[in-house]
Amino acid sequence: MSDYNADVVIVGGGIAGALMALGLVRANANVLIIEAGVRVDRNKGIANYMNTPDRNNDTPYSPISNSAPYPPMMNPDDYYIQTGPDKFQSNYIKALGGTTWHWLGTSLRFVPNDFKMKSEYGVGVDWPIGYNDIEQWYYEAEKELPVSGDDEAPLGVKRNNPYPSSMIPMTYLDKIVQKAFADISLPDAPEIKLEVASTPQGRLSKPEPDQQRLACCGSNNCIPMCPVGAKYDASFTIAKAEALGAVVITNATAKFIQTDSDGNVTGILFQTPSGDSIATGKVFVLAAHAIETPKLMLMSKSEQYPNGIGNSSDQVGRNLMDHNCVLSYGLTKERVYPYQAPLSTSGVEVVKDGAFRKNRGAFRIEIGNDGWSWPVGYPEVLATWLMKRSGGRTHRMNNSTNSKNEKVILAQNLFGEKLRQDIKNNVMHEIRFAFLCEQLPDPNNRIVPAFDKLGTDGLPRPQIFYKLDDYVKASISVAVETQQKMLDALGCTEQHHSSPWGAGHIVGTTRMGNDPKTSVVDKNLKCHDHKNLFILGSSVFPTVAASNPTLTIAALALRAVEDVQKMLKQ
Amino acid sequence: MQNKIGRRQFIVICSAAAAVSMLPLLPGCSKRSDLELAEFKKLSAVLTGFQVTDMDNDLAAIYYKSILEFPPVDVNPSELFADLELDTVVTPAPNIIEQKIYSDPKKTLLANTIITYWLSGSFKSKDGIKVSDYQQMYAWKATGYLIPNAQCRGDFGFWSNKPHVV
Repeated sequence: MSDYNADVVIVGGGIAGALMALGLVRANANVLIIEAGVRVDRNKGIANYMNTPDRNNDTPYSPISNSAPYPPMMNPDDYYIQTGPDKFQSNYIKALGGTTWHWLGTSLRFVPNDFKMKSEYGVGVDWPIGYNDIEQWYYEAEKELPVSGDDEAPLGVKRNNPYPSSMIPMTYLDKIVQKAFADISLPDAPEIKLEVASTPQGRLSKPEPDQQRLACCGSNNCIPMCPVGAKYDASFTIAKAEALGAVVITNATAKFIQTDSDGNVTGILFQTPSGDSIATGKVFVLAAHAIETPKLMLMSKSEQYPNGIGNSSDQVGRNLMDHNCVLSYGLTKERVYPYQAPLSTSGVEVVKDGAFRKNRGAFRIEIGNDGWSWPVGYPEVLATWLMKRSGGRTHRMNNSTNSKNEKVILAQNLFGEKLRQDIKNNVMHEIRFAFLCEQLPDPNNRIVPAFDKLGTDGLPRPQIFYKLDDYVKASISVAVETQQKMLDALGCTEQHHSSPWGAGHIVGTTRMGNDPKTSVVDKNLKCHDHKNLFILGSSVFPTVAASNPTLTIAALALRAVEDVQKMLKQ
Repeated sequence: MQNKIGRRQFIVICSAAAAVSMLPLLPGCSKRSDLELAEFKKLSAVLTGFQVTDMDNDLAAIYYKSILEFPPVDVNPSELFADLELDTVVTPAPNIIEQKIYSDPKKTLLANTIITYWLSGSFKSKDGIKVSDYQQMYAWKATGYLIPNAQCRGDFGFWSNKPHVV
């Protein structure tokens, strides 16, 4: 068995682990990162994507390694064991850089009331920190990615500094939508208009030659992989950390957290294809995402900790949340020309907060520049359907009861000039919106290791119980009503609303809080039960809010650097 | 002898030789194969709605070879060509195509296979479905303003303006 030693051992080389590592090596700490996945070669990933006939979000990273399994996009249950009444549909990848490889780049801050849902609206729980505690760290995270944004955009937050990078221009499509939505308001809050705003994005508006990153060139491929590195992913931060001395071991899956009799963590046992190793250190950081982090903690059962590490509260693995994503899509009256920009450049953010949160979850509205690629398919899929027209189109999101004016079964096949014109006329008018609906924490929604069902890595697969609550269902209901207004305002001749879908925003399985009886980590992300163990990532979020989580993950990670340093000095 | 074989019959013989027996083309077929490729391009153009000059030579060769080696039905593309009288007709009327091709399920399937190969940039091979050239998926060209995703489409911010549509 090989041994590794460092001041700080970090499990997980995604955005949280990478930012922590960079912060620490900048302060001359000795850092080791253990990453289950492998290094991703961007050029090979893009080539793999282009050369695969049946492309999906996993394609650039395929095949999934037996030594680092994760839920495949097309069938998450190849990895998850699901026991609840509702399907948990979000996935992630294992790779150095983590799931930021195929995130959208949306870099929103949470709004102040997101941190105090219980005290403001009487639902969920309050965070042990408020917006003012994290504002500075949001800015630090925005500088690191960097985030391009519009200082004047109505996003519901107060900024103390301008965005570090100038905004990504709105698309032609955004501007048509903005005009069409001018008079629309929320059905249950008429005072709130659907004001379209430029979305802050972890995407370059200017090249960064030092990092071999180009400015965005509109390849419309942010998901699954940006071909030019314009969109931030954590591999850039990892590279900076390595240049300053951080050591990274890839293809290394942590499988047990060792402790001494005082409850201090002493080492991380991990497996590689060539055998097991132990990483010892002074401080340990778990940053392995909201599924794998609690799984590792719960797998680390011992006589001393029969319920796993950090779990005296019995909260590890509980309160699993996601944004339940409801799509609406249609064919606009006016040509909007999708597929020629970042996947999303604008949204509606002012709808994320209001008194309605006493009764239903909030949502944000993402305006897509990607046509119908998400719910239906790319133009080649459209073309195949137009050509055969043997029945209704395949909607990936299972919404057949929710469509209006869909063109079904025509007697003839399309070919020739008519086929070509129909492709053109459909694609130019395709529009898609995503509503990210907020759910409440529920301790019954949880992930536990399935000790009797092992994955290809020989370790327990994640077993998930998931049930949508009435709060999010009420949000979805208002979302669909709002979507109807939006599609009508755009004169859409064909309209669809999808069933709820996973947004990939997996949150809440090692919640932070002041009370060790009801939470896993404190406000500084230190584990209540183990003084030299920190947990980073979206698993620490007490509530999910309605904004994409990545910038908050990054801000919390940077905020925790100082406390890890303090712990090192002790 | 050769003069007594019509051009269409000759093509059928060559195609059958390639598709069925998988033997090398018959002596003297190579020149006719070139012609056949041009004819395949013409047939492809009629079915997909593009101009013959839009149809890429290399792709035409790949797709035609695939169809001969892995025929979706027991109908040769030359039959579609003959049905539409493409050796004399430049652009058959849609109702003629409907009558001659799309009234027959087998010919419909063959026509759809040809269209699918061009539009999706994928074809059947001995190793399964393969991508011929991602950058040349004709479904994207058909839009008049796009190239397939994952390729740079212009300078930063170009998307703010209405695109030029061909």
